[in-house]
Amino acid sequence: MHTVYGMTALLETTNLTVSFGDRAGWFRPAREVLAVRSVSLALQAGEVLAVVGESGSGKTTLARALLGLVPIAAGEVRYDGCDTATMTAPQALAMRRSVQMVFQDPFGSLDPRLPVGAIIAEPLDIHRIGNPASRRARVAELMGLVGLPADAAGRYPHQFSGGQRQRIAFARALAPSPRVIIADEPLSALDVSIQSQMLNMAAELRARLGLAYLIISHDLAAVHHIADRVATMYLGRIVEVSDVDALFTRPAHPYTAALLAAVPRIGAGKWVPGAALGGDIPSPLAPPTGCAFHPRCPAASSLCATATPDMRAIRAGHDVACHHPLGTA
Amino acid sequence: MSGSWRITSLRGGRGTASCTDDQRPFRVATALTEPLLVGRALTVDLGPAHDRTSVITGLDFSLAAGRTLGVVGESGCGKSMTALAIMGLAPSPHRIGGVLRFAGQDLLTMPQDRRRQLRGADMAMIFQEPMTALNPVVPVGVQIGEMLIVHDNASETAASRAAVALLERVGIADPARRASAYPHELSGGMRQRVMIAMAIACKPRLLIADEPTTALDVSVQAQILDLLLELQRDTGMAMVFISHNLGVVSAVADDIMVMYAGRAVETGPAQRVLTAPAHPYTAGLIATLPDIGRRQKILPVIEGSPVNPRNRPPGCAFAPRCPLVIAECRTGLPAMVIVSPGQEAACIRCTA
Repeated sequence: MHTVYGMTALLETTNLTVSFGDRAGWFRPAREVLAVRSVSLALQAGEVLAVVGESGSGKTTLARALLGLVPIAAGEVRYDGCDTATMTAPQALAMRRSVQMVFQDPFGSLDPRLPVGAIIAEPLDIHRIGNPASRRARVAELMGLVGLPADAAGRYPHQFSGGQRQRIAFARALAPSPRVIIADEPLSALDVSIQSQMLNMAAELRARLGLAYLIISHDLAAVHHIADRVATMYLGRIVEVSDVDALFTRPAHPYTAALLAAVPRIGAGKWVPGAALGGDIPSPLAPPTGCAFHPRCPAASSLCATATPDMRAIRAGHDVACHHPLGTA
Repeated sequence: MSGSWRITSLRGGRGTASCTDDQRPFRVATALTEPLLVGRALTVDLGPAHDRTSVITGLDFSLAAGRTLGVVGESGCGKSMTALAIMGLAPSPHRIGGVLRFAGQDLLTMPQDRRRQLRGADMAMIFQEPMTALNPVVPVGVQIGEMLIVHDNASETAASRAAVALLERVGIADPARRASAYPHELSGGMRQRVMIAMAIACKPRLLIADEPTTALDVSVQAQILDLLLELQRDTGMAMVFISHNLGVVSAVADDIMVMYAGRAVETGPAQRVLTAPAHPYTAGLIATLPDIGRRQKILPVIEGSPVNPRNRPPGCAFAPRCPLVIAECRTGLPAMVIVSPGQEAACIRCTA
């Protein structure tokens, strides 16, 4: 399942589990939250994989675990076939160069006191790539790639709009010539007209540089536009993975179907109240038994309340963790 | 509805300030001919007299009870400022010109204390980010009850009872317990429900929702849209719904006003404007959206970014970004012209 195309995935997780806990209080036992629960997911070279789901589903934690920013409780993350837990230092350094991140908030993720040129050059400095002259040339090249004006290098982040800041963040991520860019909600802080510019830029850079993207987003229309494959996450688990067309036309998990149905579309006429998925995502401190989605699921049976469904393939390249997948009955 | 109703003259201004014996004197019924909310040539200038910036220019709109006006446009086009001007919350110093009437009364010449009585009671507003709009150190039930204490002279016990009922009305499970919760203890969707409960506490006739679902997940967004439409159906309140998400606006609005650089560039029935846009800006906004079910290799874009209201170009403000620009666009300001029944656009090509 993990090596869909019969080759080593660029970035891959097997039963990855991330847990956050606190120590016991005087009168209270220690609590543990499993933010990511045994996630197995593979990102192939040059592929765009999107992870969708509501807030609190563990999307961001998954991305952070892939980057090694949060400790892994169980399972493994492999980059280019090497387990990150047992990697040698040079391998780890190579991975850090090759897997870069673009954050959601272009206001919080750029140092306000560094000029843009220095922000973009920072990964080059850290990884000791090139000499000062070649770094300057590389910064100019990167700014051209993301469509920033040539005089931007000497200016500061506050002098740029949200869309341009996100371009700066992209240029910084591209600086050490990565193979993977992990983008956590890269569009949600931007205006609609700017979002389409960013989507086009991301597609162009991917074609030109052969990048793979892991995109975390709750904007399903943008995901549909850019992704090759989509994984739906709910309460720390991947509940459905599929190529993008199958997922959007024939969603098999009722949760994916509910998310798709919730997207208001232009020209669909006025909203008819009553169709929305009820309830909130449950607290990961007290997850429901069985399938975590069963309290909100319109198709839930008694089996769903007791047994956690395993991931299984319903057709080639389309896996779902549901006892009663849609469209198969 | 509480309080007695009376017809007042449509002359507006101070002439309508006569009925002060009523419990809520300014909840006045409107003459049948005038919509609930009317703006004519509305202008908003911000800043001190020697350094004014015009942020809204010549805005015309009207909204009848039970209807929803969707206001769309990019950041900085004046959507929120329009809402704040209607609420009387535009940042000072400011100068507001033109006509702004609510329920037959002139909002612009109204004394501040009357305006304050209207605000929250007859016209209410919900904001994009409920975490910053709610007081973090006051339980939500108290914050909701405060509305009734201030506007309806309710007692504290009556207010807290009403707050629980309101929480139940907006679909919060276990409302009695939630009433004593603090905002940080609630999820984003629940906080937005609390905001809505506060806004509808005094049964407003106009609800202004400024990007109410932008910070929410799609599933929660759908729940909030459900709730707002249900409340509107049950109470007949009018809504001004501001959003840059055209899909959301399409789902709730009866009419749409598309704004650019402080002006309305297109208005009309929502489905008409969204399916047959007449202004290149509206068409651009719609075309840039990725749509599920229609994948394009490259998305159309609106080049450039919105103009700064401080240096608005002469002629059509959209001309520098417009793919259909001609020389005349840069000289004369296009007037609103009718392009189909109820649909108007301010584009020189519609005039020709």
